[in-house]
Amino acid sequence: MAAVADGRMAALEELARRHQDSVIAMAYRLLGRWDSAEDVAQDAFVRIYYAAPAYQPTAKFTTWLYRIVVNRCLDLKRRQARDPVSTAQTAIDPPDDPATDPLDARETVERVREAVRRLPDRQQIAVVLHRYEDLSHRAIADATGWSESAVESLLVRGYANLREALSDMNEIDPPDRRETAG
Amino acid sequence: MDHPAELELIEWVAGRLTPERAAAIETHLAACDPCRHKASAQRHTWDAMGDWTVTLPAHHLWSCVEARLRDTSGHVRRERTGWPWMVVRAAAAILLAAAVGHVAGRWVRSRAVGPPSTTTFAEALHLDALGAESPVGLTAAMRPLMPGLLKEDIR
Repeated sequence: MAAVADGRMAALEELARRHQDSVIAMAYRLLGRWDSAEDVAQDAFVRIYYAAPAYQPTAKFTTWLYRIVVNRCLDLKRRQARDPVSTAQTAIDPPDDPATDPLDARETVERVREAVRRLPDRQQIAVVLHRYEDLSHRAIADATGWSESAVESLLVRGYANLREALSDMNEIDPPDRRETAG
Repeated sequence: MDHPAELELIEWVAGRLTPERAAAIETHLAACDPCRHKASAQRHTWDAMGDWTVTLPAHHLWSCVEARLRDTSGHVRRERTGWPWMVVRAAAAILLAAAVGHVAGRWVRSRAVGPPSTTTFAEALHLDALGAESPVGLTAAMRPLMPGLLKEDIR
């Protein structure tokens, strides 16, 4: 970051190459659109470039990066909510890989994607950062600016909503299985 | 043991509990059907979510970022910050202020001279080239300078 703050483009390029996949995947899961995800990722690194001189290494770089991406995604979501007509387009997805994406797995992915998309924004962000970015509650709180207890509450409610949405996919043993079986 | 909190079950499924705490949860689940049911549902949800992998196609993020940087500013930022550059900026500001002050001082001094002496005035009008005793020559020399004033005299 010091090198980026010093105006070295090669340093920013190295940061972008190192984190681009994670950033794009995260933004895609939050926004559901490939083109928007790429746009957010580009915007994040442009912002990093201009904000680098003021960067204080009090937190991990990835925390700062996630915060930029989360805020940008929230901005876009609010804009979509305010103006659904102009922003409503068919979802643009990354190309599938048929070799690793058989039909049943694709159905599962579609169900999961729809269930995540239907979560309220804050639950969605907490769950995506927790499940796909492996962030701790504290790290999610740092990346979002929410309190740790708020994050924990969002995770509980978010996963509960997902369990309910995906319940018919779950082949779950009933709670009294042992009693009836025994 | 009390029923584990829902969040703890989530973290147990995620494999993010300490080994001691995970063992305690597992002991409880073995004896508690409702908690085992919850944990099983969370496990299925967690695993289903894991199927959603995002395969990234080839993309050119960096070239797009670089293009946007050039588009937004017309040039790539070369702004320097940090205390060494602040010292350099301060020094440059002092030098600039000194230079401006020097030039302004010279200009003020040049404007602050007293009334010109007769000799100086005559030198300025190049009258030294004329004979002082030659009124015709003096008039001729001053005509282009004061045409209105001399018109009547010439008549």
